[in-house]
Amino acid sequence: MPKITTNVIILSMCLSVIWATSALAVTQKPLTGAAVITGKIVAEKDCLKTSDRRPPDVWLSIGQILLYQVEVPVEGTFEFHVKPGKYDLTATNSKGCLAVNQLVVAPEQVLKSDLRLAVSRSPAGKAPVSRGKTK
Amino acid sequence: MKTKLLISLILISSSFLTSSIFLNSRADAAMGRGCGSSCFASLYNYCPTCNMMQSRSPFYSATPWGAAPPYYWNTGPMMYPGNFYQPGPWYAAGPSPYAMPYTSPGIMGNYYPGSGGFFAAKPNLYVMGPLATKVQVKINLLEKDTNWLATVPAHGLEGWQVTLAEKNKLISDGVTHGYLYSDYRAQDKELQDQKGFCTEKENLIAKLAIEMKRADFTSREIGDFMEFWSVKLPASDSYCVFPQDEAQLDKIAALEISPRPVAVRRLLFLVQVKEGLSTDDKPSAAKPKFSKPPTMAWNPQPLRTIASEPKGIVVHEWGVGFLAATPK
Repeated sequence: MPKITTNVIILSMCLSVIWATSALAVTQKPLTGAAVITGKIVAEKDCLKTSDRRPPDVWLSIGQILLYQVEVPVEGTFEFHVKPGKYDLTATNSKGCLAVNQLVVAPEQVLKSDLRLAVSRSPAGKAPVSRGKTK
Repeated sequence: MKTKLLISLILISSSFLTSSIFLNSRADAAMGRGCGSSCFASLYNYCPTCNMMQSRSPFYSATPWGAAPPYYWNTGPMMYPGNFYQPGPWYAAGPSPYAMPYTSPGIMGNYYPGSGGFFAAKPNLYVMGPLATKVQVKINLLEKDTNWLATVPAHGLEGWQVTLAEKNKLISDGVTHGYLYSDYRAQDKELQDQKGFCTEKENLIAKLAIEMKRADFTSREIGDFMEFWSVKLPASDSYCVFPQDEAQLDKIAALEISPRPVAVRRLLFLVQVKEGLSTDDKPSAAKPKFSKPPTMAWNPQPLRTIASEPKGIVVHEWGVGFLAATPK
């Protein structure tokens, strides 16, 4: 078999392995250390009052893997303890208002991230854009 | 010549790799991955894919007459399809096409900081007493390897300063809260695994509510409990519940409250799914904690109040706990 063909086959196999393992790399791996995400919920005027008077929900996730779900009143504060990595912090209320932050936290970091609820009109059929990933 | 060919192949493959990752993520976004209509439709009668023209049209919600999707489109099971109906990332033991790093069901601890084998999920703390009373509440995590996971309002190092308001609400930094919320991770060595009960899935929430009633929780507190936990308990055919009260919880997460309450009621239900119970022939003493059904019935301790302070502060705290999935 010509040397070029052999080299191409070997290279293709190596690249296939790399491609396969890179797909696995987007899944979460165990981490060490800890960090804190703290913040406050604020709201634009249109989002202040809801008919059911329920407080907004705050969701902390890694992409679509939900880690914490809490109720936080407007102007209220929250505190999440997490492993270092990339997270999606979302707030919603029953009026359809939305706030989304993508965060990256380092070990021992205390990150302040406020969420400002604003009227949102998300198109049907479209998932949220964030895909968080831990290191 | 050979070198140039190899370099060309590397460049082409790299482009393919990059574009495939990009396209996959765009494809996911375009397909609106989520729980789908069946989950929420059963709750809210919303079916975003029922009308294919509407759901596929890029202009559906951009036109003035296009109805806005309901608020929960961006939340709840549609946004978190994998584990919205669970207390956290949950390992359910059983056959799986994937090699899982756990041997028993529970919360996947690698997603959270800490190393404890027990998660106290959503202890809600209520404070009742005379209007306008200022109360300082602090939770001290006593054990080694016990750590915070979440609090609302932010607990920080000093705890919470609240003022009692009407209808037993709490005002913290000018914001009204129904309760003080916390999550923490701890070891299970102080917890009791002898007393409790086992029950089928359809009876669980009702039985938990009955236990809370026996323990003198108010209707509002029981209502809050049922609203959240009727959705968030991990799926199983049956469960064993090991209630933990002040005797256990004060050794793990001690409450420091000023002025001193006249009564404190703490109750946390450690819930073990059927799949977490051991079915091997080992003697009971050799089995891990919480892997065997309770052997005695649990009864709440009488709620003692200080007779000289009939109108003092009363504190109630309820929560549900889960074990961490045991790593291989």
